Amino acid sequence: MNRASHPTRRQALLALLAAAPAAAQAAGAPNARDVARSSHFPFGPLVPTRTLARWPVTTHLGVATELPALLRGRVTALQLMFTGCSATCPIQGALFAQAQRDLKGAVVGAQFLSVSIDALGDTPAALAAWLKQFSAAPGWLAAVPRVQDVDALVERLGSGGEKKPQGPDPHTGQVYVIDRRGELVFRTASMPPPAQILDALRQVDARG
Amino acid sequence: MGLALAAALAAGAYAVAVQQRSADAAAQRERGAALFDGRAPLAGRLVGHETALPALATRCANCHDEASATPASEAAASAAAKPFATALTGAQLAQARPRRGGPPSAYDAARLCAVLRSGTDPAHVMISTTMPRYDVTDLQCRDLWAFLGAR
Repeated sequence: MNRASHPTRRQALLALLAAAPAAAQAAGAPNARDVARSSHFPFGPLVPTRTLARWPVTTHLGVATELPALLRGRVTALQLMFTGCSATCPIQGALFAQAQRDLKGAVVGAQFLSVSIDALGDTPAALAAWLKQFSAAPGWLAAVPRVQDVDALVERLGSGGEKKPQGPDPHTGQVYVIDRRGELVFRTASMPPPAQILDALRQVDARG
Repeated sequence: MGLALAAALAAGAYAVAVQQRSADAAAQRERGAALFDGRAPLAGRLVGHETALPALATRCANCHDEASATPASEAAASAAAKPFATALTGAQLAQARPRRGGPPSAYDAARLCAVLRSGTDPAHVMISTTMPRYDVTDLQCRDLWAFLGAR
């Protein structure tokens, strides 16, 4: 990773604090102030923040809902994955599992959400089994969008973020942090240590 | 008569020794196979992480096996069909190959140990940060090398 072009964790978190006023505005076309301050790093705060569309999703419990409904009122750490992924996804799952164990209620209403990019292959049962192998506790959900929404969802979360891996798998190990309004406000680097995920959740929670 | 008996005994002892060596080698390969596919846990963690990963996330076969799951959606199926990393065999490891345009590297048991522990290949090129760095023992390295050599 090129140190000159990427912020350190401290820089990213400081930038998140600095970005708080701008992040409070509703998402939409960025104004000049946003553009001047907008983040251009592959990880760190998102300025302006990004609204996530009302993509229909089905959870690991078989509940059909819309993504914003899962997010609203919670501070969410979201990761992309699919259950047939044997390479990076077990590591992603392990990091969420450790973060959830370490959270210990420090952020009220925080949740973890694993979103599958395999809309045809991942059933609620497959998602539930995937969570179970990491001993996921309540507060860690998995969901799968519709086939036709996967690309848009991945793009909305990831554009301007870390470079996608070569090949057709469009997902990275980044964690996307979403505030209580359902706005994407922060992205970690790929495969963040659990402590960084918790730091990001705390920072976003502190902003209200 | 005495000479013949001694020769017979020596031949028997040799046969037993050969049989034992063969059994030891098979046991070593089996231990290596168990490490490779996760039946025996390998301790490892990501670069910069304090917490060790569970065995589920550190098994070599997750990335370096031929077999892979076949998700139904096109993108995910294509992703699974395309190997995330090289499928490891002894012959493949013994052949000098460049990593990301660096000098070519070939492996033996000691070099395999080194790259597993440090994440740096024999030509001093860093491997992917997504691959855990392992707290492997010398015995585990030898077992893995024996297994890979037989693949």
